[in-house]
Amino acid sequence: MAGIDVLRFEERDGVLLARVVAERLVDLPILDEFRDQLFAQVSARPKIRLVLDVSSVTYLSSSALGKLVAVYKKVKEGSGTMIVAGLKPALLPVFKVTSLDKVFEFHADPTAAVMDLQRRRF
Amino acid sequence: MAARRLQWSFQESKASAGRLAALAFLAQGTDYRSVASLRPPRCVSVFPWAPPLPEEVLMSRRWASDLAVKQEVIDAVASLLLEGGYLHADDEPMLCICLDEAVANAIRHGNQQVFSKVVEVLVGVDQDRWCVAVGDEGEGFDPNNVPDPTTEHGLLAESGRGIRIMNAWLDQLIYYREGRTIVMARRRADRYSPLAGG
Repeated sequence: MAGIDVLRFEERDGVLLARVVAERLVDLPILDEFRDQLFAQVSARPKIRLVLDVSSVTYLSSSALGKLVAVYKKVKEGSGTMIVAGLKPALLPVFKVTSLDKVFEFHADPTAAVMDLQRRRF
Repeated sequence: MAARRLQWSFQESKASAGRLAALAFLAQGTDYRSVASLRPPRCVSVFPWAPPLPEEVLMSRRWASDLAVKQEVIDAVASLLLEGGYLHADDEPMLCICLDEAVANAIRHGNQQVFSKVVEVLVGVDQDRWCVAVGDEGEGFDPNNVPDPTTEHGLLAESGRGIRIMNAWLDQLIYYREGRTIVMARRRADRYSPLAGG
């Protein structure tokens, strides 16, 4: 969908850094765009190494968690790796109570997460 | 006509003193200071009648069933609780998440986004807690039938986490009117010490 600014992508030496620019990941048009843009990137890159920078996100809905899960599954289908980086501490309970903290890999700092993935051997 | 249908509104609870007393008892049985912010989810309760009135009603408003006004509802409630000192600023994201779930469900699933149907929001405070009630004009639902998203099967599901999130953060999450009214309550920020209560 044109006109919705949700993500910015940056290639960093084999790692794709996807920055979420929306502050609120709550509304369905934004969430659909979020999923579609990430799906397109994941589909185009087998064994993608993806860092999803959510440091700008102040709150997110349960629907947003669903989209994150959908992207995670897509990444895993392509034997890729995904790190959620920069999550605000206030939002961590949302992942804990839904047990998604056991599904996603988290990193406090997006740049460090990129470097981490660059160092890993796949 | 629409106004008459909204008789779920808290007027109804005034009709029966005994019923109100029983519901008030149910709604006040929590030692808020002993409840941590993050604790194992409890059973979600469902009662057939209207919720009890809080001691002080801060806001009672109706909005059309339009997702475009959802943020307006959330901002109105959040600013009311923050400015009143009833909510810690650190808790605002979790409040907004809970309100988003409740209001979006009322508009989308309850009222099926029929513009003429209204979502009624009541904000009130008691001695120890604030509470927010969100009511719709839909068919209702049984929240206990929502699958557990933390099971092996549910973990990678792409929906169904809203009630789990709300139930974990709130001190009370009670549904009335067969699921058409949700009441969310939590201890007041000005009535407990985070150091003592967690």
